[in-house]
Amino acid sequence: MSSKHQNKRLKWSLDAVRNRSLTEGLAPPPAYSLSGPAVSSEVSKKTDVSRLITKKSWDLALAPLKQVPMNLFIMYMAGNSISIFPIMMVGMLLMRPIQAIWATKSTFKMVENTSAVGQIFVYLLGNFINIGLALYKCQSMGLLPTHSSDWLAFVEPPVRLEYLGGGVTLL
Amino acid sequence: MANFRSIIATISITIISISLSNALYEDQVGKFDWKRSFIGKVKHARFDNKRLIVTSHENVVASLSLKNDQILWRQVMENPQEQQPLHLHVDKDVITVSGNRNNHYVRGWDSPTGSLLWEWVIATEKSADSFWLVKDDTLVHIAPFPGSHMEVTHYNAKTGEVRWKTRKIPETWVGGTNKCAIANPYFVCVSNGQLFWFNVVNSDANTHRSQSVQTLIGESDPGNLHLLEFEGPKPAVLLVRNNNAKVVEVDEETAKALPYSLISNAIYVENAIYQLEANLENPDKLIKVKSLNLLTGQEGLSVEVDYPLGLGGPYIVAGQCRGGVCDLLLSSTDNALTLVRLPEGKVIWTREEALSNIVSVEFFELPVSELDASIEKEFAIASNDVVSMFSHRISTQTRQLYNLVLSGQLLGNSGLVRDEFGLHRIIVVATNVGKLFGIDTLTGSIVWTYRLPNVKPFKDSAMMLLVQRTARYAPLPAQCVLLAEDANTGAGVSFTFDPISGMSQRGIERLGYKIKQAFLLPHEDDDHVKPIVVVASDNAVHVYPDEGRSVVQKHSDTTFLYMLDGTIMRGYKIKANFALTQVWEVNLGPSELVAVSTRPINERVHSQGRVLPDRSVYYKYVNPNLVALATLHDDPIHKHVLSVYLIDGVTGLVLYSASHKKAKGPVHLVHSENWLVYSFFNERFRRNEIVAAELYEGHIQSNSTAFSSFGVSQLPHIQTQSYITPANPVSMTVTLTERGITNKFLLVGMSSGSVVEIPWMLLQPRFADIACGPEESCIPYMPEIPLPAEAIINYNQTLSRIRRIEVAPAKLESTSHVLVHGLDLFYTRVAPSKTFDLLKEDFDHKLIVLVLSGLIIASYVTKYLASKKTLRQAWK
Amino acid sequence: MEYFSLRHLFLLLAIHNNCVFSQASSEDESETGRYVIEGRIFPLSDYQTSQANWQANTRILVNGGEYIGFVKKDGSLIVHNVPSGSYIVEVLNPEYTFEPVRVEINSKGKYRARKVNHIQTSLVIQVPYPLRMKALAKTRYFQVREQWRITDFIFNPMVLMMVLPLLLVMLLPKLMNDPETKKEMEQIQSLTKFELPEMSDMVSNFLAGGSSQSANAQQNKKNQKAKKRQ
Repeated sequence: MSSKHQNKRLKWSLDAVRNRSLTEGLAPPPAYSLSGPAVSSEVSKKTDVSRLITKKSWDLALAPLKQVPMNLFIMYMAGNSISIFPIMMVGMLLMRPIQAIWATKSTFKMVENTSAVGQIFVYLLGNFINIGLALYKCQSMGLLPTHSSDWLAFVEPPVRLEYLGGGVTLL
Repeated sequence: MANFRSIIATISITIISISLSNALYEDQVGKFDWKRSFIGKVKHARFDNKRLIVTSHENVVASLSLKNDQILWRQVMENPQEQQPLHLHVDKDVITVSGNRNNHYVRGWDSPTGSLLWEWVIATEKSADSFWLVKDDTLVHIAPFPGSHMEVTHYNAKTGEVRWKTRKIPETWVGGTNKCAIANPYFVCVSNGQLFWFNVVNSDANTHRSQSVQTLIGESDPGNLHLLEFEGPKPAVLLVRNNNAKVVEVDEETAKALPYSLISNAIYVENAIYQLEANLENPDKLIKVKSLNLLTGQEGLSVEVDYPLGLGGPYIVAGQCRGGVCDLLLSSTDNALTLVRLPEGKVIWTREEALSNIVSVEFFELPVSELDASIEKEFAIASNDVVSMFSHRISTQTRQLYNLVLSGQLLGNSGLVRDEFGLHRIIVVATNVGKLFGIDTLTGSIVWTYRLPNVKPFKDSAMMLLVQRTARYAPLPAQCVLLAEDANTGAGVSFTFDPISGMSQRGIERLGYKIKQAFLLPHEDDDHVKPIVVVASDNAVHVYPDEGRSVVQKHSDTTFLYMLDGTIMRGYKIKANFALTQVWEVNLGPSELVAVSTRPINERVHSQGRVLPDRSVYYKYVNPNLVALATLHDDPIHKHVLSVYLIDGVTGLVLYSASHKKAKGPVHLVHSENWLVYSFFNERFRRNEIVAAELYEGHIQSNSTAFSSFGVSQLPHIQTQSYITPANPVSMTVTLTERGITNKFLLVGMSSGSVVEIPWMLLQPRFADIACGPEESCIPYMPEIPLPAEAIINYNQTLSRIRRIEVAPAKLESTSHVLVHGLDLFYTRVAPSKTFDLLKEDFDHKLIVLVLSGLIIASYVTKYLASKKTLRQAWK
Repeated sequence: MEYFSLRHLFLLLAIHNNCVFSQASSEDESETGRYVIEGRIFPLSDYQTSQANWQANTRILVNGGEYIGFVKKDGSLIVHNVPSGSYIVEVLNPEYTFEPVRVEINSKGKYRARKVNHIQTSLVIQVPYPLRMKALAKTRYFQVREQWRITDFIFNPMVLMMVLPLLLVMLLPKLMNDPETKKEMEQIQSLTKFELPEMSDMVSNFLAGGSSQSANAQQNKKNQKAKKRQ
């Protein structure tokens, strides 16, 4: 057993001793400075975080807009028939942006950035577009009470102005 | 293209498919329906050992039980308006002769089962009021022709074989029904103070015997005489003179009067004669039965009968004695039938046969229970003291709870108390003889009766029951008025009563004038009483009660009246000074008015329009003042022509008219909401047809807040469609519900004795340009209306001679009460859209409780297990 | 007198023979233009046993009650006094449904019976006369109540959809994880594995025949060697 291990070690061990002298004589690679990184690392760390935050916030803001094509596809797939799954899909389409709008503040809380107004605007815009799409879907499915017939059940019967009595004479 | 509409469509399709198969379950039989069978006013009756065989004026032969008031069997013969039972003979078999003046049916019935044994007919060319007698198995038919002759024919009663062909016996003494009687085997007549008799059974000689009445009764002036049948041990008749009767026994040679006098309603049962007398001594037992010895006339027993108080004056129809116990069958002026057992004088049973001829029906809500009423009173009694109000509320509610838990007062079974869903009602019924009944809808039992003497319906067919106040106004009792005609003078009669208890404070009020027309105003006075406007024959307007005059005056501008006099329809207006002024007149030409229909007064129309497939609304033309009329007139080419009109009763505007050639009655009209349905017989194709017409205003409603007959800008659009019915309708009506949301059913009584519900959806005219199919909310047009057996609301309980179907809404929107009357009385409840507002009867409460509690327990158990598992995993 | 006896003869015959009776009576009544509709009712075979008195509960309506008839004990029906014309004859029984028949009597007293067709009124499908009315079926007035059965519940697609994945998710991993079942499974596998070589051994042994002893010895040695190697 032990001989096997040795063999393996012998096979793959590097001859570090042989090349040691060579490394010292080599020039540093291009764009390498010994002092540079120490100074610039401080600055780049700061800008990197803020860049990341803005990047992240833009990601957040653009997420609803990115969903639009997906939603369109879902809408297309759901079809216009009224059954449990299309209704669930449409419900999701409608509810998700509304929930997102309600949760705008908490969503952007982690992005404590003073210049988030633009992002919030874009975010809201995207969600409204999604709501619009969902409403359009509802409309095309006939779920919106936009016709007079949808309000028919609430129409009060007209008041009777004249009263009539009588019949065949009893004589 | 699925949309909002298609949701509605799918729902309504399910409703349709449900309502098309809206049948009873077998376990629901008798749960809320009941049937009472009647036979009508008894004409002939014979005892047959343990049963009673009767025929009635309704042309019915039936067998009644002696123990209780059950009908053992009943056979309904031809229409009683045309044919009547003429003779009843009970021997081994039951033989009936029925018919009119020249067509007679002789039928033999098996007396235990009521099945037909034989039937044959006698047709005579000359019509006469015949006399009949059965001797052994020979039926003798005597046709008298007063003043000239009589014709006597002998038949074999079973086969109709002529045993002795018609003999024409010229006798001038032969008289009519009153003057002659059968004293088996003699035919006895009284004429010119002489008594004649003739053996019709086996006398070969065409000779008669005669004796003067004077020698029989020993009085010089014979006065006004008539004869009645008397079944004694020997051939005898009852000779009646001025309400004083004597038994006259006849034989081949002589006639002999028995030496005592009787009243005209006396019968002979086993050696004794029984007659009824008024009992003046005991006010509780008004009737006394007296028996007399046949030979001597000596008085035997005299028994006071505990005769029910509400019944009319009785007379004896038949009697039977078995081993010292005698049964007497009494019939009374109000058509009730009573079996009295002697010698106790006990009433075994009473049958209210007046209910076989109902002329008017009204459904009444019951008052709230005392407890509920006391809650209502809370504000009235202790109006200012908060503490006492609170304590009152608490105490009544604890009592309510107590009642609910202990006495199980869930369905209002405890007396006549309103239940939650308004399913318990009282039906007030006015009958042809002028007797009022209050009937409980839950059990079908008679709660109260009230007999109005000397009262008859208008034109022999209708009385008016008008509801002035319902039981809704808790401390005030409900109030109802019956308008009818005095039987003697023809003047109007009004009777105001409390429909719940049947009590009347004022009793019968005889109005001093003839009633031409009457109606109820929709407006209430201060006591919540709706005044009645009565128009006298001279067009004078009377208002009852008097306090209502101010109400009439106030609303005189908007109150109109129409009257149909033959085919002339006149519109009137009531002026503030209580005079009628004629506003318009429509003459429908020389024809016969066969049907009139208006919308039910309490009908509500929930939906104002019909939704078209493009989701627009086609508004209904709902005119509450429409009157639907149907007339028939003879035509030289088309035999009969049926014309149907829709006329606005306020303005006299004819909105619609249609005519059908080669049409025949009976015509039935139903007008409800914005539609009209009528049925008639098509002579050309020899089938019954039903036509539906629907009125629409169009896509725009001219005035959505108020409807006025005067505000007509354009005539309504009318859609029509006709159908074939495979059965013969005899009565038609439409279901009514509280708010009018539920689909409508047409209830059609058929000649076969079934009442079928037909969904209005099935009849509703289809729009020609709009597709119809399962996708849309309508059923494709079928020319023949399917009448499945499941749609028969009275299932196998065949109803005889259905006259009318009465409908009233229950408090539950889905349900309406239905009462079918005719010879039978049938009550049920129908739910056209199924009872969507009630849990299903077979709803499994246990299962749902079990499942829910199981789920709850399971969730807790799993929660516990899950927490345990996470704990264990955390320790690993 | 001769006429009288003839009539007698006819009627005597009629007592014996129903058919003759009908002819006789119709000839009798043709003088007044009144005819007789005759026939016989054949109830369903189980009917007589279920309802002894079906004849009394059965009625015949002609044109919805214009003329009526009753059924005799032997099932024959007769409707008298019918003038010439076209009539629909219905048999009414609360328990059984009968098909109506249209009977046409012409002015000469000839009868024709045909099926009722309200839509194509001119279509004639003749049926025999005197009428033979057979009960079509027992009338179904009632709906059948749906009964809750456990199988219905289980085979409900929704329930299946919920339960099957649940089973798969819940039970399968458990089955795989449980050490005992693992062992069992292995055992099963090993059993099957074990069996096969032994069978082959036996077969080879059997083939080896008399030298079984030495073979056994050899095998033992082999086994020992193998043990040593291990």
